[in-house]
Amino acid sequence: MTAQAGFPGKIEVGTNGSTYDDIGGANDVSFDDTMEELDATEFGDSNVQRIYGLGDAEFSVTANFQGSDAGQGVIRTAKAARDNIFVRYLPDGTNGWSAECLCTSISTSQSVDDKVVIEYTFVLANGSVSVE
Amino acid sequence: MTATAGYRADLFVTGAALSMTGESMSDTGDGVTYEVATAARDVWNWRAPLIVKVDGSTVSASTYNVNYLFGQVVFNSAPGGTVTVDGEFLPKYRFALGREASFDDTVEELDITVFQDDHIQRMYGLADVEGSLTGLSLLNEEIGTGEKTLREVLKDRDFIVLSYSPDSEQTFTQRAVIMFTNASLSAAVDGLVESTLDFQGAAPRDMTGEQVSVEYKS
Repeated sequence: MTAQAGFPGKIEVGTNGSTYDDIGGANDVSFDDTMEELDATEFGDSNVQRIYGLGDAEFSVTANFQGSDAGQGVIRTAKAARDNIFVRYLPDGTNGWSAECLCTSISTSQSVDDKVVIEYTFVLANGSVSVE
Repeated sequence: MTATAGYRADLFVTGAALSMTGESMSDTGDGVTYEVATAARDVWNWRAPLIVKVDGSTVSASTYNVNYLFGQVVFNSAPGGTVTVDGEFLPKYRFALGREASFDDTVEELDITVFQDDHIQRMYGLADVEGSLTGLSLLNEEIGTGEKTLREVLKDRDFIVLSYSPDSEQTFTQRAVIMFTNASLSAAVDGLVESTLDFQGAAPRDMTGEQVSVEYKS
């Protein structure tokens, strides 16, 4: 086993969970796949006891703005219509995870001496995270 | 496809309302969405009455929806005639001294998780916008000749419309009615005077009670 380089990664979006478009220009992704921890410690315990609670997930994507990119367009359309959006992240380009999400934030920033950067935030909306 | 250089941003802010009468509207292609023919008049004043006419006769407001921020009327069905509008438009002025800009387009997330769900479930809540504009000596510069300065807009508690395209081809444009919440100015002996204006979305209601929300055009 070796480390996995980041550059082959894919981050994709779609409207139905079957077909996806690359988010063009994407260059940074983080994926948080979490389980809540519930403290179940009781008298007599000498160590903290825990049980699992609710699962959750969040994707954060940073991309170079590309006005005509299909994937970036899918995100804008879904968010404007308040539609759920399917996000698929494949760190090695083949294997990874997907989830049905809300797009809760699209942040665009630019300065005269740099490129236009766009940041997306997706949070789990329905169901759970699927392994791809 | 490549990245987009930041200097190509195309930002506009709006000035004082001006009257428009019999303004021509063109079908955008779907037969029901009509857009003002003169691009310079494509931001309308939501605080003024808007009269939509087909072949010179006023049509009921129940037969269409208005997109004030891109000068569009969307009919429930094809109007079947020549469309014009009477009302007021807001002249656009390029944000000439800008050096940095940010525009955060957000939607609240509402937790709807219930018993037997093993993962958090969510639905969309309220939408909002916020951001900032930074540039050279913004505060004392008129938006356009004879218009207020941006600081006067803040001081007078005015709303203006911000039109933000990340590139000069306007492949994607977002517009919102905004209110400035903070103006700051900085200067050093060996540098330039720079101003930053923070803004948030205002989303006011028009004269029919409909909210003027953030709008997009690709």
